[in-house]
Amino acid sequence: MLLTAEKKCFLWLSNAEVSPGHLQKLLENYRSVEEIWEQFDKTSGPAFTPATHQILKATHTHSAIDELIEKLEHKNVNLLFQNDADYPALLNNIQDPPYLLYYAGRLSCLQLPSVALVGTRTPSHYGAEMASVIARDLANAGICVISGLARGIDAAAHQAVLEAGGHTIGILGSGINVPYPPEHRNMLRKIAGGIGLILSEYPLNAAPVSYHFPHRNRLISGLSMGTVFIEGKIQSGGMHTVHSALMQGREVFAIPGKVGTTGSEGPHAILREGARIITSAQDLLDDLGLAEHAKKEKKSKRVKLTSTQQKIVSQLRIQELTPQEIAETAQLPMEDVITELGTLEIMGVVAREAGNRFHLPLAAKE
Amino acid sequence: MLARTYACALNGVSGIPVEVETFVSPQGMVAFDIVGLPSAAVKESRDRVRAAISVSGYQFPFGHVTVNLAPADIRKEGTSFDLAIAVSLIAAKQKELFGSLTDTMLLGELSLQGKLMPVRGALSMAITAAEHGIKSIILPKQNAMECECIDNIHIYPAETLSQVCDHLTGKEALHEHPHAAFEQLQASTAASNDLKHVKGQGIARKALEVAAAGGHNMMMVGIPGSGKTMLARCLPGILPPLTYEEALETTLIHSASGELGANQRLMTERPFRSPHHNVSMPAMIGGGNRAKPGEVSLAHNGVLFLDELPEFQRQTLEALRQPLEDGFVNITRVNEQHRYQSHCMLVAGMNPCPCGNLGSRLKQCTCSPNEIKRYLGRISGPLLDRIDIQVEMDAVSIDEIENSQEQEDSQTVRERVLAARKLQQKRYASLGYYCNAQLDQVGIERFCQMTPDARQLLHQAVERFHISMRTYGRIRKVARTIADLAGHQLIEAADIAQAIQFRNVDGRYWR
Repeated sequence: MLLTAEKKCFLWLSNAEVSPGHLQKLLENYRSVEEIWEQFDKTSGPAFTPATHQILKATHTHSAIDELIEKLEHKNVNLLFQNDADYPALLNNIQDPPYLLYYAGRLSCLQLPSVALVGTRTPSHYGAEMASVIARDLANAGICVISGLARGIDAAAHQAVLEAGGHTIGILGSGINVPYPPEHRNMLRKIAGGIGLILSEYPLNAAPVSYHFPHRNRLISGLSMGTVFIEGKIQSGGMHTVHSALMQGREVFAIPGKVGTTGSEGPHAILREGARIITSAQDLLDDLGLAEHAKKEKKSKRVKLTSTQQKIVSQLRIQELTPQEIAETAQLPMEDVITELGTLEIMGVVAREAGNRFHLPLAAKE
Repeated sequence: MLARTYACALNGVSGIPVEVETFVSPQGMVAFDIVGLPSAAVKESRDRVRAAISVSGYQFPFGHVTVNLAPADIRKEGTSFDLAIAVSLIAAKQKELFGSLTDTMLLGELSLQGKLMPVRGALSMAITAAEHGIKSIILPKQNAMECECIDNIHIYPAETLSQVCDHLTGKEALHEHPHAAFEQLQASTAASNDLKHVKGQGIARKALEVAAAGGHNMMMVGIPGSGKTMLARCLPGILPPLTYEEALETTLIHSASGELGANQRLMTERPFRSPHHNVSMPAMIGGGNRAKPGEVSLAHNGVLFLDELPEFQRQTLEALRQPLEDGFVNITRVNEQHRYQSHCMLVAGMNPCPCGNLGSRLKQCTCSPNEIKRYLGRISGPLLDRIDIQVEMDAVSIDEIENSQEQEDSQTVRERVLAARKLQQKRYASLGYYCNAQLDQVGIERFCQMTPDARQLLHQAVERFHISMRTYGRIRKVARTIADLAGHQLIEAADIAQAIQFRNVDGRYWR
């Protein structure tokens, strides 16, 4: 990787986690980053916190910077500078765009129309299912799905895109070398190794400290045309992303949930404040003017059901039920209910969740 | 001056007849020695016996007294030798009064007042006596009822040392305890927990029935208060009634470990053991310095219920695997080895997550995915492999509890279970299996044949749920039991569909 002197200075600052806001302030007093490099550690030089200063000092030689570059190359991590041609225009429009992004995977994802899906780390089965259905349909329509690689909604969205073979961008709140949560390492590899993209604003080995994540959220909304809030409390990371989307002047969408469940609080709150309601990927595409991307939906195969099975399915259409409740409302012997539920589950017509409750999945998986 | 009486030592759950010989030498130092490897409790009997003899109005022999417990190379434990030692001491002094002492076994602990106190292991001692041709047995009256089914022996319950002496000298005979037939006892057994009181939980009830019919180990996952314990307690009531041999085996273990209690008859209901989750490994498997039977043996021929399974120590659970598989535990000490039978059904209960509310309709689960993973991870794969049926309890609502109608009672369910067991016995006669749960890979291939429809459905399920080969075998075993309950020759599609419902937990919580 051959870098200009200026880019090396950016890398030097980024490696010490000097924030874009801080750099902007420094550039009010210095003409260029190279001047910051030169004036560093001099009496009238730029001021940093002691910790940052220490890191900057340790890497304040050309050989140290080259070593950093070597490490990045070794890990197959690339750099995207703000003045690069590939730097996404959407991101340049936000208040404090990062001057340097670390990435692994396909940069071309940034050229696709994109939508962010965000939400809680502890979703209900409904939330997780909505996330995967919408992510899958967006992927099939050629839209890039952006999320934060966290547990719950984020993971469901990324996973669904991977399964559909679409494009997805995962934005980390830590260095690419130390992805958080660790159990998603495999998913990360699949995204970066396939046709997706992993992005981070933080140096290769930056720890997943708590203040990174809210800061990271501005990138999720900033890279997307719109942000969809799927499930989450009023005080949550998803809500934070929604706010930064609004600050950046992007569209905000929410998926309605069931009144009374904690996961629905956030989406309902923003719906009251004027967020657009969506119930499918199609709604989203229409609202964002991406309708031409929408592919004709394939007619799903109709499975033939027996009359008993239909009876059960029609009960489940109203609400989720336990086998006992199905037996009572449908007036069927328990034995038959167990048999039919087993058959329907194998056929993929019904699905089961914790508490032995059955429901109809939003979209049958193939 | 020599006298001889019979007592019995316990070795594990079996008895060894012991001759108690007393020699009183008028010469030498005045002393009272007990030889023949007595343990501390047996040595202490010197003081109890001396007091009991004096208080009962007999004279303690004067001189150098030696009591020998033969065979002298087996360690003697417990307090059951008191009576035999006391009688032999009295007889050594007044031999002319006593008739033959060698056709009677004497059992009992003595109090200082000369009263007979109950002993542990009376049942195996009575059996040993009968086997060795001893005609009658005198024992504390609290122990009489547990022995009443033993043939070929007269049982004389006594309350005091003087009653025993009067009986043996012919002054006043003791009343013989009437012999009871096992069938008689069995008829009077009423299941203490009946399924008709269990509200809702249709799927778990069915799972319990299948578990009972095929002898499958079972796990119930559900929020606190969903009725796991209540259902498990109903299991002994729907299992086939104990046979005489089984009842004897089980009562022996309980009697030998002192778990039987006073005035208990032969056990006619299958044992239900539910040790608390802080149980130590020796308490679970058996062991300790006296190598006592553990919970798994006390549950022999019955049910071992482990509530809050993930809370048990991991090594305790791992140690359970062998006894569950083989049906016995070997406890080896330097000087002895005991084999305790441990043929029981394992029923486990657990919460779906540490806070217990995952899947609840009323409360939100507050656990992180990692916490749940760690919680479930405490149960090892090999143990899970031994649990064929895993069922998740329904989230029960108050309406359901209040408005549900009377449910089927245990007796009706038991009849179906019995019919299914009979089919299995017929099928596996002379093959070494006696229920579906025992089938190994070869057995599954041979006996769990499916109709083409069933085969197709199962293949579909394997693809949809990513079922492992091991789970595949378990589903077939359970389906075989369901087919037996329905009276199907081959496993049909409906049986597979039901068996799939009893696999659910490992599909979603464990892979």
